[in-house]
Amino acid sequence: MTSKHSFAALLLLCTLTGCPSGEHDVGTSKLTGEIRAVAVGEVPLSDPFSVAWNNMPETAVTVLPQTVAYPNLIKQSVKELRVRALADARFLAVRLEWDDPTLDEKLEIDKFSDGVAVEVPLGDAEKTNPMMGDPANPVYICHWKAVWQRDVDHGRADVQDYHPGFVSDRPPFVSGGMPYPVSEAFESDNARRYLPGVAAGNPVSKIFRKWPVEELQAEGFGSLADHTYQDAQGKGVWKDGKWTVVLALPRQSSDRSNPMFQSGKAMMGFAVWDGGNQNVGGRKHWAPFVKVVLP
Amino acid sequence: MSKVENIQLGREMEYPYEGSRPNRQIAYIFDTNKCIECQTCTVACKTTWTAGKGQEHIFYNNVETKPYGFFPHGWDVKLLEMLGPGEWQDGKYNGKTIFEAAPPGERVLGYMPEEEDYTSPNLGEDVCSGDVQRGAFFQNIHNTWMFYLARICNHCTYPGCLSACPRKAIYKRPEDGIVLVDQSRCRGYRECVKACPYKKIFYNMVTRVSEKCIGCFPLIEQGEQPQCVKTCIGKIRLQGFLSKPGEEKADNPIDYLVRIKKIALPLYPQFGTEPNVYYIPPLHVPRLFLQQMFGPGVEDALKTYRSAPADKQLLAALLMFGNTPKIIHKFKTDKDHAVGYDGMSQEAVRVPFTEPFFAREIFDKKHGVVRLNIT
Repeated sequence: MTSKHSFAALLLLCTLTGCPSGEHDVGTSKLTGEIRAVAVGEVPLSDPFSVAWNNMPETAVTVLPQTVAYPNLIKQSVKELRVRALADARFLAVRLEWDDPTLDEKLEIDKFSDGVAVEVPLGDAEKTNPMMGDPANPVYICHWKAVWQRDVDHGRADVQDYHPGFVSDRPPFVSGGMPYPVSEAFESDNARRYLPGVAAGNPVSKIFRKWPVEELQAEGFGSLADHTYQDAQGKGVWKDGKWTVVLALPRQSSDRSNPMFQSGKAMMGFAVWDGGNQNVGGRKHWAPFVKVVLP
Repeated sequence: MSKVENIQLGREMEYPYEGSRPNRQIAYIFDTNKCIECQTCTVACKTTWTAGKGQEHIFYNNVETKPYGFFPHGWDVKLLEMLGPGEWQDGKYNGKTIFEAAPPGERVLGYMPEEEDYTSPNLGEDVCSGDVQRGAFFQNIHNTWMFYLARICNHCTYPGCLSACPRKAIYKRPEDGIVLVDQSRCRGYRECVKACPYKKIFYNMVTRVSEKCIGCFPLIEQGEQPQCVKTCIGKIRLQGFLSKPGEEKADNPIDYLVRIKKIALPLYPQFGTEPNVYYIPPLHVPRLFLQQMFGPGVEDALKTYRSAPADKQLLAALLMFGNTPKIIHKFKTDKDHAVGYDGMSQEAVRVPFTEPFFAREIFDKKHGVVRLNIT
C-alpha cells in the first residue's frame, strides 16, 4: 500500500469511527459557491476539533454587515465564515469557524453574546428572502449562542457568578439560603412570578438548557419564533482567537417547521454575531443562500 | 418615518410609526415641592414588582436629587449632550428630537448605559448645586439649591422603547396608554434600554429579557391608583387619565392641571416622546435649569402654583393628591370641601379646604399630666 493509500484509509477509518481530536488538518480543498457535505458513519457532535472534520472541503463564505432593516450593524468586525459539512443518516452537521479575538459569553446590561446561525428556506429558495424570509416563504433557523454554550458547559450563569460579592434579602417565595440559586431556589410558581420571563414561558429565559442551540422559524424581520420541538444539537469552542461551532440539523423530523435534508441540494444562509462589538438581534453579519450538496 | 403631532413641542415631528393616541392616557402629576425623598414609593414598587433575582438593579420607581443625582448614572446629561442645544420659540421647539436626530441605521438617538451606571441607585443624594458660602446662613436666603425628582416610566405617547424594538415586543394599550413589554416575546436585544431617553427600561440578567414599569395595571383595572401613588406619604402624586387633545374636561383633575391650568409640565419634552408624568416644578430652583428640564412653561406654571391659595378650583384639584386610593375621574368644590369621584361617579373622597383646628389645654386634668406638643 502506498503512503497515499495508507492516509486515505486512515482518514476513512477516522471519519467512520471518530478519532481523538488534535490531529493536524492538512490538504483541505477550498470550495467557492457551494458547500459539499461528506458522508460519514456518525457525525462528531461533541467535538468541533474531531479529526473527522480534517481535510473536508471548506468553503469560505463572505459575510457583510446587516444594513437592510433597523437597527443596522455599522461596524463590520467579521469578514468570513469557513464552512465544512458532514452528514450521517440522522444529521447534517455544519462546522462554522470564524476569527473573533474576544470570548463573549456573558449577558449583562452592556454585554452581548457571540453567536452564529444558519438559515434554510422552507419553500422555494428562489422566492425566499434570505433576510429572515417573509410570510409566504418562511425560513428555518438554527441559532447557536456562546452564552448557551456556557450554560451547557458550566451551568447557567447566575447573579453570584458575575457578582461574587452579591448580597440580597430573600426573594419572595424562594427556598434555601444565599445565594438562592435560580436553578434550585425558584421552584414554586409563586417564586417564578418574580422571574417574569420564566413565568411567561419565554424560551430565552429558559433555566435549564440541554443544547446550546435553538431551532426557530421566521417569516420576516421581528418574527422569530421558537419551534415547539427542539431536535437540533451543537457545540462551540473558542480557542486561539477563533470560534469553531458545529450545528447538527436533523435530516428528517416530524416537525413540519423543519426542512428535510434529503440527498441532493439544499440552500443555506448564515449570520454571525460579535458580542464584543455589541452585535445583537439585527445588528449582525450575514450572508445570502449558498448551495449545500448533500450525500 | 411618519409625521405625528407632538402637542408638547407645539409642532409635528417624525416618528417611526403612525400616530395613534389611546382613548385615554394614563398620566401622573408629581409635585416636586412636596417630595421629601423618603423613598416610600421606591420601596413600595420594589417590594411589589422587582424583588426577584436579577432585578437587584431594577427600580421602576426611583427618587434622585437634582442637579447631581442620577439613576442610572448621568442618564439625562449624557443624552442632552448627544442631542445638542435646541431652542424654544413661542412655545414651539425648533431643535431636534431623539427620533429626528437618530444616526444612520438607527431609529432613535440613544446610548447603552454601562453596568456600573446602575451600581449606585442614590448617588448624589442631597448634594447641593454648590458650596454654601461662609456666613450665608445668616443672610436669610442662600444661593445653593437642590430638589428631589421622583421618576417612573412616562408611558410616553410616542415611546422611544417601543419604536426601537425590532420584534415589536413592546406595545401601548389602547384602553389606557400603558406601555408594556411582552415578557413572552422579548428576546433581550436591549434596543429599548438604549432608546429610552429616561432609562426606565431595564435588562434582567437572570431572565435575559427587558422589564419596565407596568403602571400597576392590575390596580388600574380595578379603579385604584398605582402603588407608588397610594403609598406616597408626602401626598405629592396624583394618577388619572388625560383626555385626547381638544377633548379636555375641566372637571377631570389631570386635564385641568396639565392642559387647562398648565401647572404641571413634562420632563425633558425636547426628547420628543411626549412623556405623561407631569411635574409641578420646584419654586426655588434657577429658572434656566428648570426650563431645560421642563420646557418653556415653567414661569407661568410657578406663577399659577403660587396663586393656588386664592383659587378655590385649583386648590380643590390639588387636594385630590394623596387622599384616596381610588382613581379620581371628576372633582368639584362643595362649599368648604373638595370632592372627588371615581369612575362610577361615586364620591370617593371629600377633603376640607381648611383642616379642622383643635386646641387642647396644656394640662390634661383627667389624667393629671402635662400634654407635650409632639408635632
